[in-house]
Amino acid sequence: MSLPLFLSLFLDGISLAMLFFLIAAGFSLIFGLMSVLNLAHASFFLWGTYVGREVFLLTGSFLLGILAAVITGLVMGLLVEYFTIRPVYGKHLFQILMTVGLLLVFEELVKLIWGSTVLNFPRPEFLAESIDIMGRLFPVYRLFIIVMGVAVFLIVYLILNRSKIGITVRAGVEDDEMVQALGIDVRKVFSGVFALGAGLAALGGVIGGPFLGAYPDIGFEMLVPALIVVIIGGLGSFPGSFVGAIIIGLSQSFGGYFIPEVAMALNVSIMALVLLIKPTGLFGIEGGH
Amino acid sequence: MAVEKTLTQTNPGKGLWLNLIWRYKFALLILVFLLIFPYFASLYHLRLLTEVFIFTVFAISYNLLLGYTGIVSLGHALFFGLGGYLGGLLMLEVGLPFLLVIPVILVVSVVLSVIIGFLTLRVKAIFFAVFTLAIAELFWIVSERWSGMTGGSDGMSLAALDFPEIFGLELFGRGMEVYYFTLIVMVLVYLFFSRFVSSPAGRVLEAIRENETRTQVLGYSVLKFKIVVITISGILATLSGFFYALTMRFLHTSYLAVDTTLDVLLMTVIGGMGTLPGPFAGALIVKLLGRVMSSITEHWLLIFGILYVLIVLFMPEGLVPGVKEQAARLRAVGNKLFKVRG
Repeated sequence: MSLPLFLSLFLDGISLAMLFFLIAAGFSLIFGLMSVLNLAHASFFLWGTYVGREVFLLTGSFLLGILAAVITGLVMGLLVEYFTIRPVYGKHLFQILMTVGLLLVFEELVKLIWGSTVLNFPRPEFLAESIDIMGRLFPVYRLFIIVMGVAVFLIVYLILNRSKIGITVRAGVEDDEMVQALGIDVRKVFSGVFALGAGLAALGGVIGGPFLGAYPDIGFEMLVPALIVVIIGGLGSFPGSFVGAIIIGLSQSFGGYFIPEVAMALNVSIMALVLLIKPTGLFGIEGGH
Repeated sequence: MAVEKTLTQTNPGKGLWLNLIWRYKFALLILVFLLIFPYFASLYHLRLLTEVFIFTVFAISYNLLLGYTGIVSLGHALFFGLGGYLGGLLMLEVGLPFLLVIPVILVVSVVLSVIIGFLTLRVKAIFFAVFTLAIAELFWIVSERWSGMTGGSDGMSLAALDFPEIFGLELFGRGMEVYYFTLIVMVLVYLFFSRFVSSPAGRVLEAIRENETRTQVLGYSVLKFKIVVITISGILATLSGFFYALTMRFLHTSYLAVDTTLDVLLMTVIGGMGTLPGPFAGALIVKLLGRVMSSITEHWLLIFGILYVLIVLFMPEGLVPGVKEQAARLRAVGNKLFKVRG
């Protein structure tokens, strides 16, 4: 394998990893904090893509598109948490059933509004160029995804580790009853993290749009690798979802380059291996929920 | 327990049989109706009910996991598709006879269940959900891409197959033969299922659903019970997939797709998790309503999705217990009225 090809696949894998990360991070935090398995999380990504595209095409401003997508994610997150997750807190079975239903409803709504066909999601003009990396053309847009992903990781990481809210959230992941006993309203923290996670997924959806296109299955297609990421990284671990995403992103791009079918098999094998050796995931906390 | 109660309450003999018939009057009425149905129904409706019978078996297998043990699988289509593809291809490409194919696909299904079980059931319950989802997706992708073998998304016809005969009857022959055959299969599986869940092992499964830690502490090996139940469930799902492929005379990658898992999940929840008639009611409702609504609107899945969310929110026991509850309430009201008059 030549060096330029390697580099190009590597960058491809990392940009894909950033999208996985944006879904997996919220998913993992939501599970860690309130042990809610939210399969509808992928719907936030899906809606981020479509709303972002719509606003981008209407206004011509990609930044406005991103903003609209993130707001959509936040609002959806708040509504979903309030109306459908609260009634089933603590009941794992019903959470899974409920969120599977929501996944179905949100996907069908997209089909109802925008149709089932693949829609073109153009790259914003200022990112439409390609640059030459040792003789291979590489779209600047993918570098933009990488920059965005790393920036989000750093910001959220700093918030989680350096701010009071972040400490509360991390404490909640460890032991929510203790946090409650200390006089902090854990419910509010739950809602906030749920909305934030949804916003991150929607951000992933809109910046992933020009890379992956807009079609109704995209949410579910991203959900499966994102879930694998969460398991590899360790449920509830934020850095874990970043590292897991990079592993799966690279496995997807390198595996997919040689034999497309192998990519998924590789991902599943990595997951099986991690489950075999360290069932709690690479960064998982022993015990927990 | 219900049966044992009647046994102790009544003397054996005539009374017992009458009692049993009375107790199962609804099931028997439905069965009699299903038995005479072909004599006045069109081929289209026979076809529809045949599908319902097969999906009832599939839903029973899912109910065993979800309703009785509290295990969520998001990749149950894996076993359904495995039965369809492996069984269909073994008959078509290798030329194995029907009666030999069944043990082969069942062995593969058991091996797969045990591997998945050992990998995922040791830790949190959600690992099983995620892992089954991922493996089913993997098989689905392979079936889509490996079109030389599977026919890809165009599907593959099994019309060239000679179908198995028993006593001169073609088991999967058009119309009545396949109708009665799948009806018998469904009734047998239903009987097995109702005996199994009221057996001591079935009780342990319910205990696991209600409180896993306590069951473990009481000395039951939860892991072993769970592996046994996913194996049994896998076997039933594999069989239903195989029979479905033979009935349709067609293999299609959608057998392995997540939509198939969602279908069976809808059937189980709508019919009523952890109930005996739930899978049949669910399969009937989802298939019938699906046919009716898909002719009206393209977005019928949306209606199903909303219905499903509402059921989980407001009627989590599903429609069968929900309707029963309403009926009991009506009866109580009726009794009150009588008392007032009398």
